[in-house]
Amino acid sequence: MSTMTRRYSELSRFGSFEKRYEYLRLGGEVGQSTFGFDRHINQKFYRSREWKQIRDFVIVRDSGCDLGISGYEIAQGALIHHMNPMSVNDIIHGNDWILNPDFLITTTQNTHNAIHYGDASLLPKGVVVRQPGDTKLW
Amino acid sequence: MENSILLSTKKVLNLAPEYTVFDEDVIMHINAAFSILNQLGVGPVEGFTIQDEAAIWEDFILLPGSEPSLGLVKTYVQLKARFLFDPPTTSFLLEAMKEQIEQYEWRLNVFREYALPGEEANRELEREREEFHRALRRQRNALGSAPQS
Repeated sequence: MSTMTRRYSELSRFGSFEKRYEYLRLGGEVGQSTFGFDRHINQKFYRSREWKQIRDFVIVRDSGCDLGISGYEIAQGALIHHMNPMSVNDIIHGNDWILNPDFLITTTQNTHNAIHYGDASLLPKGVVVRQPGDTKLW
Repeated sequence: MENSILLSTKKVLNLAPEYTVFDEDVIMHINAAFSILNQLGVGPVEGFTIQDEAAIWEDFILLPGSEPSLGLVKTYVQLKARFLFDPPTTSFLLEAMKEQIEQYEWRLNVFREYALPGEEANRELEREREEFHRALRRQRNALGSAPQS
């Protein structure tokens, strides 16, 4: 449990999407193996009733919003992200933190990729503030 | 921590306490949730409703001595009110809320079944025993009065 550095109770103190992203950013590498050939284990976990129940809880808690920020409603394809990367051993040994909502957050595939690979260009763009004279279409 | 049923539910719905425009709607949804709890056998037998912000959570007693389980009732009522007052616009959030509401209803039902006070459970056992003996007597009488072949 020493690696449990990121928590929802801390994350919720950040009011902006960008700050929450910075807090969650992992900065992994594309192609870096996570579960590798043990992926069947995590697929079994993600099909379990326990996971589905906790998933519902987290989606409702975050009101279906990306990183739980109002105004970033997810239209489709919401996914639940483990703030602290989960390993095969965590599933095999049934470590309870993998089902603890304090370590989970609702997000989208793009934001999830941005968190893992540190690519901020994948993040949703904020609303463009209108300026005087910006009526030109191009 | 807010203890008023109406005010704490309004907080979940992102409505300020002094903003009373939707109070009637919120009260209606809260009372609908309490009606469902009443049908599940949770709470006062005669039912429970609120009229204004004066009603507090402790007014709703599940069963004597069952106060620690009030947390589940609070979450259920607020979730149900949120679902009715501000329905989700996305299917996955809608599904997640529905599933959670159903799960809470099931859990409260389980609580009601297992948390009956000992006295009430004994009375129920006694009723079952009497019913069993009555059925046995009826069976014996029926056998005794049957024509002998």
